[in-house]
Amino acid sequence: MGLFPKMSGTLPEASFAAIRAAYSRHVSRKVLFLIVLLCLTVAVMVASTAMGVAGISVGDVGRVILSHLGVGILPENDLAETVVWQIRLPRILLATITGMSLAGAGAVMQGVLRNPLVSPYTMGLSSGAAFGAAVAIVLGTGLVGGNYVDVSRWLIVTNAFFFGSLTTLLAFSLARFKGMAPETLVLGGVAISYLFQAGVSLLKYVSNNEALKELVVWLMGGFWGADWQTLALLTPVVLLCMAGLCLCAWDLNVLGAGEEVAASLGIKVVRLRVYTLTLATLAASATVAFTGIIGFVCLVGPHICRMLVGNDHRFLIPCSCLMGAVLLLLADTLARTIIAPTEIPVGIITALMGSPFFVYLLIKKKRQWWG
Amino acid sequence: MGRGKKQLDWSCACEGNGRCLGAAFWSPRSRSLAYAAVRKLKVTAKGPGIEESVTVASVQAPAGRVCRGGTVRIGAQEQAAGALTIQENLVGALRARDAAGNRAALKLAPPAGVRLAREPTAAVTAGDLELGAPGIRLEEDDRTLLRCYYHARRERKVRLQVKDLHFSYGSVPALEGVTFKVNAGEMLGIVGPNGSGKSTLLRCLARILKPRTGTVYLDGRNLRTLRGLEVGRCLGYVPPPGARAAFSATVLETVLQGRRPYLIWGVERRDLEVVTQALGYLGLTELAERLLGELSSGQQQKVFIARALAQEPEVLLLDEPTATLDIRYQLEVMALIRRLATEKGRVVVAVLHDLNLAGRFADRLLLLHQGKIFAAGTAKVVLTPENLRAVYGVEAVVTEGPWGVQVTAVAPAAGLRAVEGAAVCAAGRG
Repeated sequence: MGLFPKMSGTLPEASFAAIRAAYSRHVSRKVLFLIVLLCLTVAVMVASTAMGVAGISVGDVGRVILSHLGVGILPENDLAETVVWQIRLPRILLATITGMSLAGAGAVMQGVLRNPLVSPYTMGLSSGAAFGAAVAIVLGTGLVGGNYVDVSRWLIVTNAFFFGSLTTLLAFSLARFKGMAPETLVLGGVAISYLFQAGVSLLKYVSNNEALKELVVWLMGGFWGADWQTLALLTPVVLLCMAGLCLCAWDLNVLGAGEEVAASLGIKVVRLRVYTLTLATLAASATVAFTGIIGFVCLVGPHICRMLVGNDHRFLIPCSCLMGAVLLLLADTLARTIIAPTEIPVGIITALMGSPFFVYLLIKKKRQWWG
Repeated sequence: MGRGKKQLDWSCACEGNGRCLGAAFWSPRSRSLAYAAVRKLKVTAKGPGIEESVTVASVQAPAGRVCRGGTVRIGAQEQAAGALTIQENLVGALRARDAAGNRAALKLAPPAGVRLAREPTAAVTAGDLELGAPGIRLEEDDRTLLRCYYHARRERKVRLQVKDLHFSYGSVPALEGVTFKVNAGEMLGIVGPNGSGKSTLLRCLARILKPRTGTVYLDGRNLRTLRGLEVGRCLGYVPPPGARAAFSATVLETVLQGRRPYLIWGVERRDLEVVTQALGYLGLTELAERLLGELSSGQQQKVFIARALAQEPEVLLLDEPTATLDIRYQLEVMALIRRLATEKGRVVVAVLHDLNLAGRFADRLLLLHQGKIFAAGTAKVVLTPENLRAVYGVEAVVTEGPWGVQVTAVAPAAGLRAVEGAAVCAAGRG
């Protein structure tokens, strides 16, 4: 009871109880939502493992997974083992990881730049990655050098990752002249994005049929390339980045109140910006490099969570991650199954499915979440 | 600091020849013990924070000196004879014994303007002091706890010291050689016309802007040397009205942001207590769960002030705190920060546009003109018709009444004055 005890006597117990109750409501609602979302993610993961063209029973799926975890024995069905363990599970995990990294990165970017329109997509990261991939696919050259006759997958990946990260680096170097102002960062990102888009168009124009087809497919994005090796690489990167971002949650909250207030509270705004944007970019471009361009989730996932849990980044970041994972999982499952055996690129589904949901929330939730 | 402060029972006992009278107080905030007119002091303490320490130490120092936490080692449960239990931040009176061993109780007299709510005893607890409450005045020359408390606070004198501050936006100078001091418990008002560098000065103090040259010292420590979140524990900044957030937070979340310098991840009981207190001061308890975006600009302004209070800062910096408030809250907020300064020995620096509020509540005023200090001192000295004409370019009537210095701008000053200005002027005098 130390604050200003002289000023109005003791702390009124009733209002303390009220504030305490308000705070526990504030927290418990969010924790509950987080738990629900986590359960939902797991449920969707399990359900989508059992869904697909190859009609494998839920029991077989369970047995395959359990046997790989060292419990039980492999079922007789060889096909089940291959489909579930080699194809579906990596793909589902990749969708989860991708959703987490994109939506998490989007939430952080929006928070740190104090702009609801920002996402890895609008910051030029996707265009950069697209350009990198296009260079690899059309010209067959890349950072790891050499002229490949058949474009290796790793060439595309490294190129896309490099150029994706490069955009943020370029935006940083542009914004440095203006004291890392968020407007400069965003506008710099948009300008760079246009530059790379022009590059992609140019490469499309000069490419041959084969390369063009491959490029277009890459640009639509999807989880075809999922395997355990990819996951082993991506999972630690994404999880570490997201954990690092969660550590900044309080600073991001304070930054939401304005840069001046944040600075006067002792937060180094420029350092925070560089740190968080670097981590977010790292996570997002790592996944984009493997999956191709998947938009929407990174912009809308965080906004759905803002409407549901509010703007406290301690909860917003993990919620956005899970929300992104759920959205992408659902979209990918639909993409695989809706007109099976033909697959629809997942990017189309996310937008088709997510937009109405987003608009619904936008209309339904009347509170002023922005500004 | 801040975190983990526990309420302690303090006791002080006088040793030595028994004649000594005096008072001591413990400030958990600065972890220092201040006392006055004490030759030798035995301090014993018991409380949740200090069970493990066992030493009882005596301290000896000239009156009024402040001992830093390190020099006083605190003992365990040792209740010295004649000791008094002291509660809260304030502390206690010392009772002395005369040569025959009889206790001589102290009488208490509050500093000027402070009244006691009830008949004082030798020990004064936190609840007793209330401004303006019906109470008793005591004899002027009693040596008392409150007096000592007050003087010991005053003894620290200069807390904020600004030396030769220069700042420029590009090549346009905004501040040129601003130098001033603010004493403990003082509220300094910064006034001046638009563009005179008031907000720039405040931002330099809040470490938002980096001055080209010049230094700001808080308790003798260069503010630039503060590391990280320490800044937020020393300085509380309230932005001018109109600052908008990108994403709405609730009132509670916003005020909790002020606890950032004390938080790691979770919010603890003490944080909520401070937040409750801050919300209570500004009458926001009811609005705790509303979104900031749903509130009026005046209410938002109060939330921002509450956030700064939640920081428990040594220096409170406010940029036009009352500009969007209604007349009742203008008074309440000004009185609140005024009391914060006097009773906690904090420093308040406020940019004020309303000269009447400035003249009424601020201890001293700093009149800025084109980035330089044009005049400094009490409202009576600063707010003169001559100064106002020179700085603002207005003819003004200055009166001094029970509510301090009141300024009424009558018309633009000669040279700027148009024909109708003269008419207004004439009407104003008539």
